[in-house]
Amino acid sequence: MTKNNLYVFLYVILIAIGIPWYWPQDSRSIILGVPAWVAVAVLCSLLASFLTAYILINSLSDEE
Amino acid sequence: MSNILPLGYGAWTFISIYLLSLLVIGWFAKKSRKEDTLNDFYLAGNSLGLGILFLTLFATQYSGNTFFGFTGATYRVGYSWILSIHFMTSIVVCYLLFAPKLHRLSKKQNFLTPADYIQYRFKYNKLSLIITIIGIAVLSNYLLAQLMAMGRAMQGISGDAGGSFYYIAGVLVLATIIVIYGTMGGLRAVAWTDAIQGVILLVGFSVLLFILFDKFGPLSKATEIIANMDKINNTRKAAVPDAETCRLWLSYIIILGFGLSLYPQAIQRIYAAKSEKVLKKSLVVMAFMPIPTMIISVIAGIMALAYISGLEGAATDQVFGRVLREIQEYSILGYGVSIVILAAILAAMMSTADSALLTISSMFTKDIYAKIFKSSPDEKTLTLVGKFCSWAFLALMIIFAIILKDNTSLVKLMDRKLDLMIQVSPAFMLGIHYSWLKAKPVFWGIVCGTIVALSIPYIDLSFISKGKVFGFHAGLIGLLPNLAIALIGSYLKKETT
Repeated sequence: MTKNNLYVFLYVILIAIGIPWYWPQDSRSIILGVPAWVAVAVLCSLLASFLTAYILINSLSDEE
Repeated sequence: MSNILPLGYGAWTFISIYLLSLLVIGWFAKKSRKEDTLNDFYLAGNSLGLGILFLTLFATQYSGNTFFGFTGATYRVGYSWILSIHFMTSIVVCYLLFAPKLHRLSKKQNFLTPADYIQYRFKYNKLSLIITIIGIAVLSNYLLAQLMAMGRAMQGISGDAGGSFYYIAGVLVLATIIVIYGTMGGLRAVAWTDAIQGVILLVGFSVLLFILFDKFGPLSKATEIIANMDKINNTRKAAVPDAETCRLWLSYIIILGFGLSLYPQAIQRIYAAKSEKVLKKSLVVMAFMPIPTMIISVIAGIMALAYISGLEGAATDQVFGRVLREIQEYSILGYGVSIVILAAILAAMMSTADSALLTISSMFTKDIYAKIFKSSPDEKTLTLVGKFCSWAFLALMIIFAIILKDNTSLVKLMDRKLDLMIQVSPAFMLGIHYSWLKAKPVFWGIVCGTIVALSIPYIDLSFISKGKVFGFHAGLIGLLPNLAIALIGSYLKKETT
């Protein structure tokens, strides 16, 4: 798997986990005062931000 | 903003000083101009450094809609509007697909408008023209919406919610300020004022979060109230979203990521970056902005949903005004904070409008006027034409904003900008990487995709609801034939040559 394909794969995984399609409809769990599926969605977004930053910083060091 | 308290003299002074400072910045930007060329005027001589580039990208991407629209959307749909964090992040991810390479090319080829790249890559006038037309149509809608929002904001803060005097005065005064600093200093003025507006936005948002918690208490309490409301009203505002909402969620991630990253003003900022390194570093910071910004919008909507009841339909868009009123009445500090937030809202609208106006002016001047009306005009004449175009175009939009004051349905009708914008994505995102992609199939793909995307909302079928097919935006459905024509057509052409 090339580096770019790996990045695409990771983004797809983050989207798949971040969108709460797989949660039981009657789930009532709460994390940090918000529904658990909301906390997971925010966490996935944070991980996507870190991945994006990593890709950009990595490409900067590649150039140097 | 019809719900907030009328402002006192101190608040008006603060807002007036802020507005005057924009004109002063425009004057300084004019003084900083190095030459009378289109590049210097529209791209600030490709000199935007890290701080300014980040703040102008931020202020342009987060418009007045971030405050009003998104808080209102949370009030209507509940926690599932957290999807806004995902689509705002996806915009930065989509930049990765083309921005660094496009920036490198623009440095070599001196691109000014999005069509410059298309003409360089595909050498097909019709394709360049359709991309210019789509760009101008989308930005006109964007500009008109911001002008109308400015009028309503002025109506709100003057305490004259029903009358038209403050609406018209708001549109005229704020639009005139924008066009003055915009025509004085070009992108330099717009980016510098965006930087100030970006800072006000960041401060306004941060302080708002603290005040919200101080006034309404912890989020867990609000969640509990909403969960109880769900049980009584049989709604799903705190519950796990249903399948259609999940499909809509995915649709938003794709259409906003691909559509918003290709907005002409965003592409011009990619060109205007001082270097690729600066562009990438700005994008690194931008990658983390959706979380604080969108979370605050969503929290404001959730607090309103839990503690401010009774808003329905179009009135839900005014929920941010209601939250501000609660804050104003809460304490003297709350009143002060609400003034900063009001300035931040004006800043958000103005920074979006000024970028749209400057980009429309550059596209009209370079892609239409220079090609059709005059054979080889010099740069000085073109810059002058661009400034004239800004005034004329803004005058036209002001007239529309005043005529359509009470008629938002026309704006909604035109509000298909993302469905349109995503149709140009194959030309940019595939065209920049794959040399085998051919001009004519890309052109016909855009034509076909646009027709499909614009037609879907008017088709009466059971699986089409609110212009969406099974929860997917019409633009995404249009993108399917668009991509098929571009890819299959290019493959067949490759085989025959």
